[in-house]
Amino acid sequence: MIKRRFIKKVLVTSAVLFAFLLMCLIPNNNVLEPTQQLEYVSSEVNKIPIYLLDSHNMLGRTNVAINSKEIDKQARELLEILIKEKGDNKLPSGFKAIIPSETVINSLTYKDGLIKVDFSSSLLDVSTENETKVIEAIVYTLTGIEGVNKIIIYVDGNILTKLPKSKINLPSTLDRSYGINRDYSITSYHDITSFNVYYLSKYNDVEYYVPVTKYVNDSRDKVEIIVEELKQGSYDNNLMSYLNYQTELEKVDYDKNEIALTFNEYIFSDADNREVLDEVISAISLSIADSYNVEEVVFNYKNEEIHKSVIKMLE
Amino acid sequence: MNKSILTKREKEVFELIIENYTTTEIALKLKISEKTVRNHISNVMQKLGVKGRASAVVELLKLGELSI
Repeated sequence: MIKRRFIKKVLVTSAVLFAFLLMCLIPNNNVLEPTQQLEYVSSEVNKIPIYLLDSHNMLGRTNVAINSKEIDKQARELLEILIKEKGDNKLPSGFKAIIPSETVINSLTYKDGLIKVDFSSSLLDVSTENETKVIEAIVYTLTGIEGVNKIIIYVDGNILTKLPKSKINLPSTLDRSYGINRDYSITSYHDITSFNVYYLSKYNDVEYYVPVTKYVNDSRDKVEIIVEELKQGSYDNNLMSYLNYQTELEKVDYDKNEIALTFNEYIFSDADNREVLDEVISAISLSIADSYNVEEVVFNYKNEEIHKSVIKMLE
Repeated sequence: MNKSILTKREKEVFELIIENYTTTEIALKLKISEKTVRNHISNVMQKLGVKGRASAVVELLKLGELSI
């Protein structure tokens, strides 16, 4: 009796195992549908700077891959990434779009350095907190395209002359002098100057730069003030500078499209190998580029060139 | 039309202030009295609700009424 039950159990178990084996061996003709839509891109892709909201709600400079070559098409592609939900698949990790999601680009034209872009009225739905940032993001992103200097923003055919919520005046024609991530440190009405300083920030070990437009009382050349600001660093813990506090800018020379900066030995991170940190080179070069109309920034030590940055190649 | 909170004259005065002109120099340049210059500055500070010229300049920069 017990022997019969045992044999029965073995037979049932064997049958189940055999059936399972058969299922594994029989080919399955069902094709799995891809869960993601594939996007085919041209083999020629450009990496272009874009200014997006970072995890600290500041506008950070990062790069995105753009297929188009013509300026107006590049501008459109970049703006669509700035529109919430439209360009989500192209957003670098840690960054958010800022233009309200229902916004449509009605038209965009480019001529002689000027981009005119007409948005639908949904642009005006931006929050009070972000109304200045959205203008800064649009202006800095579009003027980051080589050949673009000025922007005019329209809403349903009318030039935008006031911020959407606060009604603060906007210049009709916008350029980088509008500022970004502004910081006012003015204590007197004498010798007021403004300039951009690019600080380093990080998200999950990926570095990017955050430009801050500073308004200060200082009569020195902007390049001297920029170097001083980078030496001191920022009070904001999320913004870093790798420029050694003992670095001295000994000389500045201007020549056509180039600015040459001579530093003391503290410009090097490694004096033996005479290496300058990429983070130092980029921060200084990006900051200089916004204040001076130059194509190259040369770094010198004791009358010898140690590095040359080509502005349009900076990442 | 883009309506400014400053009058044309008030804007002229502050544009010269941020170029480091003194009250006397502003009066000479705009061909008005020093008292009038001080009145314009005082009116702007009142409009903005601030106490000093530096604070007025900061607010005007933020409002886009002045640019550097």
